[in-house]
Amino acid sequence: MFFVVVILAFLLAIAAYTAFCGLAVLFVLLPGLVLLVPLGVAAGVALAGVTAVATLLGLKSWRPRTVGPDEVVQGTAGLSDPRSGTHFDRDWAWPSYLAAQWLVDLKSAWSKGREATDASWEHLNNAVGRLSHPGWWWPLLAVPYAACAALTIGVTAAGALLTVIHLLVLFPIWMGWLLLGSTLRSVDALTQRTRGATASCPRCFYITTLPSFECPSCHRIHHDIRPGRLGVMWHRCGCGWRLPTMVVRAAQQLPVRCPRCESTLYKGAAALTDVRVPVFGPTSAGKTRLIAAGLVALSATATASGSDLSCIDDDSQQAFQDATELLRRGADTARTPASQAPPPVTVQLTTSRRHRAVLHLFDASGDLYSARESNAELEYLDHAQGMVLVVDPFSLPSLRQQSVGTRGSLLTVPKPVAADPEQTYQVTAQRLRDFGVTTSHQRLAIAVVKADLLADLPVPEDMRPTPDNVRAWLIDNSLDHLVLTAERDFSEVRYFLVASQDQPVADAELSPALPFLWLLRCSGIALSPKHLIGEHK
Amino acid sequence: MTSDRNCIPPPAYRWHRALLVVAVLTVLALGSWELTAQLQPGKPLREVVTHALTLDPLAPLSAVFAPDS
Repeated sequence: MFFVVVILAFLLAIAAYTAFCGLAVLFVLLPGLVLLVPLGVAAGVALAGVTAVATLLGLKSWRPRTVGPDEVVQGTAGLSDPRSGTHFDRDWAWPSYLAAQWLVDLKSAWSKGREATDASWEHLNNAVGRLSHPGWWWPLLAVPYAACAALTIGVTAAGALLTVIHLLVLFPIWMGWLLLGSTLRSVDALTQRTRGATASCPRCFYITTLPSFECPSCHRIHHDIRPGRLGVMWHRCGCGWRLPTMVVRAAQQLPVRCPRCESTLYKGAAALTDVRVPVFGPTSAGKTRLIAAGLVALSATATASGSDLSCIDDDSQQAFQDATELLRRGADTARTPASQAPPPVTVQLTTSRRHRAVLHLFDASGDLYSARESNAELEYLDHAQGMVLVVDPFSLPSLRQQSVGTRGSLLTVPKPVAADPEQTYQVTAQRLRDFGVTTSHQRLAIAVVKADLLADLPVPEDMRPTPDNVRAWLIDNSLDHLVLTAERDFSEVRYFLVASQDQPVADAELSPALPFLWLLRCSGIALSPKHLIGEHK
Repeated sequence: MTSDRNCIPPPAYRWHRALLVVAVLTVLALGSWELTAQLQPGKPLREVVTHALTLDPLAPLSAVFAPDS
């Protein structure tokens, strides 16, 4: 009997639970699903929208991580490594929004939306976990679970939609950004190539088309100012200062630094035509004198042709003043110390057509050119567009013999030089070959100096100082091997007879500026008529 | 070296974000507008959902760039 009662009670309980479930499904679950699922989806969409807007507006608890200059330097900004032209890390500057921050904002909005849905699931699970037998309540518990699922679906769907909108809005800006950036980089490189613009350091003799720039506000060095991930038109330094991109723009507005030794370079470095001319020759050949007289003559020639010559730094200004004074007094030139390679004399030339160029004249003691071991530090030789070999005619034995017994010979013939010019040439050419310099791309001006003293000798009386005549004269005076070797090594060799004196521009046939004028013209800087430097009219 | 300005993002950040906010709000507003227009008393929800799924998001652009003919 008891057994029957138990079975009946069990069947009654099952029937009651089934009835409860049926009623719950009918009156709670189905209406709940119909009502709460759309509401949950709508709430999810709204939540995603609010989260996205709040994230982008940077509201307090939604504010995303800001990708700043420190992250850029540390390499945690998500930018790729610099690829070309520089071996430095990225500069301390703000990245473009399109390079890093947009992704951080998008991820942040997604994570905030996910946090909201995770929190709703967590609350629901906690509440359900407090029930003793939650499984029995499934017709009722299915409603909040369905609502949570609807919320998650709404957030996910709306998040996906907003991501697409994000990308659709940014895509045309990216395209414009890439187009403008690549165009500006190309214009920058093309301008430099057309002008022959490079930056040359007067201290370490490093040559580059990508110098460093100093922030005028915080003095931090920026190694790569080209348009890129740190900005297309402007780079914003970490201190907030706005720096112009493109080397040719920045060089006119910012302090320029050598990327190797961080020495200060002249204004406009890597934006102006840069012409580097080493003057080499034996000791006491007259190199320093030629540079001094050449500078003064260049200045006079520039003024006469409507151009302008100005010194670019204090040292060069002092050198120019000393040269002017030296020539005015007619004094002897002091011997250049052989301790180290001195910084070049640098002048800026502005032609009548507003073409600006910078000319570096490198002078070093002849002792440094006398042996292969001593010229290793003369790095500027490797980067020269053209060179000037100074030949003292009185170092040639044949000329000294001819001068004996000549009128005034004892007074006019200067002290002989220690080494002959051919030996100096061979040592220097060997140095260039050892360092992999392609001399066949360089030009060589061979300047026979002291023409004013030659005037007292019988040899050059019938000789006009044209390049062909000077060449023939060198061959006649035992320098035929030098001539042949130089013409084989260099792309072009031209010969000049000059007098390193303070002379008027009208006497241009012997002007000490002629070798420099020729090399300048080869670099696109025309300061004088062609016929003066041996070219046809 | 780091100054207070280091904490302030450049103006370009604000401009890009403002543009994105406008785009998001515009889409949300247009979506709400469309939904409100479709939700009519007595209209089955299934029809509203079906209509929403068949919406062409590029329709306004197509209308702008369509030839006059």
